Amino acid sequence: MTNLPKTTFYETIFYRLRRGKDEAKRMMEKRKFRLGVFKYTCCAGCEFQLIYFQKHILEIFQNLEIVYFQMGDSNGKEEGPFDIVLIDGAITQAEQADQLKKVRQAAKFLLPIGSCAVNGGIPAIKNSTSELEIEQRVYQQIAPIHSMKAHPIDEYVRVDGCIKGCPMGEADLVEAVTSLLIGKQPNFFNYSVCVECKLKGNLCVLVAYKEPCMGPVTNAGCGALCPSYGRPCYACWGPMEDANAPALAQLFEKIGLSPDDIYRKFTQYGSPKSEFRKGAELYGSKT
Amino acid sequence: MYTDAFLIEKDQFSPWLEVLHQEFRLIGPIEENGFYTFAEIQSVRDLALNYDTTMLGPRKFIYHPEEKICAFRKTPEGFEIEPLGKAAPQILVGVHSCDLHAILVLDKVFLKKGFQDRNYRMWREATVIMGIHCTGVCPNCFCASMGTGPLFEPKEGYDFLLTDFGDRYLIELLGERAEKFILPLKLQRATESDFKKKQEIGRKVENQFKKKIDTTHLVDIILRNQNHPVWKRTAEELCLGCTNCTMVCPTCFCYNQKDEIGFDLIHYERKRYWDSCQELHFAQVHGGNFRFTRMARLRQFVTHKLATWVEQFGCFGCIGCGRCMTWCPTGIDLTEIAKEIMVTEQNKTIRMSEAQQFENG
Ligand code: SF4
Ligand code: SF4
Ligand code: SF4
Ligand code: SF4
Ligand code: SF4
Repeated sequence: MTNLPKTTFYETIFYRLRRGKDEAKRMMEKRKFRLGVFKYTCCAGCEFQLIYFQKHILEIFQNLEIVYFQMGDSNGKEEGPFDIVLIDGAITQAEQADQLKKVRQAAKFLLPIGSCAVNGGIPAIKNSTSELEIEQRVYQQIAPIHSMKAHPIDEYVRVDGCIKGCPMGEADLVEAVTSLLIGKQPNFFNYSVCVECKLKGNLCVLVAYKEPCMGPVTNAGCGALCPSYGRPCYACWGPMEDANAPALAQLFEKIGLSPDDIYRKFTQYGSPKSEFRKGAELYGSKT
Repeated sequence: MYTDAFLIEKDQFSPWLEVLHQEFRLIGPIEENGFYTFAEIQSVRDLALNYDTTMLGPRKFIYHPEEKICAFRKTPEGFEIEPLGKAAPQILVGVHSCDLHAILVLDKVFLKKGFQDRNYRMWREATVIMGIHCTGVCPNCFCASMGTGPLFEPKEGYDFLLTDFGDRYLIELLGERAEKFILPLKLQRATESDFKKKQEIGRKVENQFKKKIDTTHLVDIILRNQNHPVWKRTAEELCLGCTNCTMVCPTCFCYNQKDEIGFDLIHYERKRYWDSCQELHFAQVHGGNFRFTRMARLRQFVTHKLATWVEQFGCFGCIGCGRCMTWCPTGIDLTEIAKEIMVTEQNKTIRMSEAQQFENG
């Protein structure tokens, strides 16, 4: 401890315990965190979201040095090294998976951002139809297309947390980045949308109006945005852990949804995830 | 403590509330999209005192769904902590007997000797409570079975207690604060016959209950049957783990805390928000999760309300408001769970006595 620059007792102990010497040193030298942002198959909405958030969380970005962010700056260093990597989009090509593995090795913390990266998201809607059929529907020439089913990031590499949402939520992003900056474990939302809905005091549209709300099986983080406007949740944040999708799917059947509609409800935003698949498979076919 | 009772004409009641409104936040039941809800009231005219029930009880104005509890700042020496929040004087109008009991239950939790919750105490003391007796029942409520209604019996926990006599209210007072408010009105004192009338209203309501539960051996029955098949079956087939039951329950007190990190990484705010044992991570501790299955979580809710609460606080955790089953998306009803267990027990006793007769015979 004696040869370290002067710092507070708490800071030193805290960082030594949590993240080891490296982080303690970074903190004392006020070295910036090296940030990488990678994009795979998605609409790029989350990256726009990042650029947009940057405006009101400028202070946080002052602690970050952008090393690679194709959309913001084309002269990035793809090989890193990185302190934090944010990944946008699902994996639908073998080359993407190869690059992802390299990025993981160059990153201290790696976090998928948005439903596509976290759960497969919108691109994974195609997973329930055969690849050839999908490709023929979209492209005239399918010879140069080497697409595979859409997979979330955590099926290929270990992740250090997920920033959910479609597009990703600001609260989780801020929590993740600030937590990593001060060297603590991020405290992500890990319960259903219903919790946020009740905290807000919204009338429950599922019980009151028999609207097919996906809130009970969907991960919180959006502040129950849709029910706050009297609309049912359509699960854009993806499944919460240990969701009971079959029970909700059966309830939807009771309130009059067709099997196709129920199938679509559970495949719209996270079809690769087993929590949602269990609900979908009761009402639709698997390909 | 000061107690008294008067009669107040309804024509006189609203203007009186308007006067109090100038000094206090006024909170009471209003109608919104065809449902009643407790909300801050702009004009006394919006009050719907003949409401049946609300999704969230008046609890949310004393023990808030989300609340900042302190701010802290990193300093060269360590941390500086500063408590947050100041209570605003408010009147809660139209609290039913069950919810008055629920507030008494929360008092036992948060105002225990030696463990007083700062924020709860602050808001509790700043709140004038005006109860009102129900004149009808809801399909799901069963306060009579839980001993929490329809008439509110305890002489504590409220400032005013109204009983609807048609064109006027019987208004019972408790405490000096209530006396001070009512004094300028010069009301007619209530008589023996008014109290008889109140009892009669209570009896009339009591006969209307559709939902009932026998609480005589409830605690033992629930505790004896922690492995009954009803838990697993209900948890797997119906329970979504969505937490709605505990969020709407007026006696649930569990909360979680979250630190909000300031963008400067120096200022922090700690907020607390209602938590629920139906949520997977509720029981996540170092080394594992002691209620990892949905069955264990559902069983915790029902067992806490109907059994273990008694040992913990000396009363039931359920005050019979019927909210949990009303707002559970799949309609899970803790009285039905208890009844199913009771039926199995009865059958067991019958089988046992039959076996005995057989042996004896
Ligand atoms: S409206 Fe939807 S999210 Fe809100 S409590 Fe009801 S089911 Fe849950
Ligand atoms: S309520 Fe559901 S659909 Fe709406 S933003 Fe939240 S998670 Fe997405
Ligand atoms: S409200 Fe119903 S479905 Fe949701 S956790 Fe409670 S008992 Fe389970
Ligand atoms: S357990 Fe259900 S019925 Fe009992 S007090 Fe809570 S919400 Fe009301
Ligand atoms: S039922 Fe669950 S949430 Fe409610 S007080 Fe008990 S443990 Fe807490």
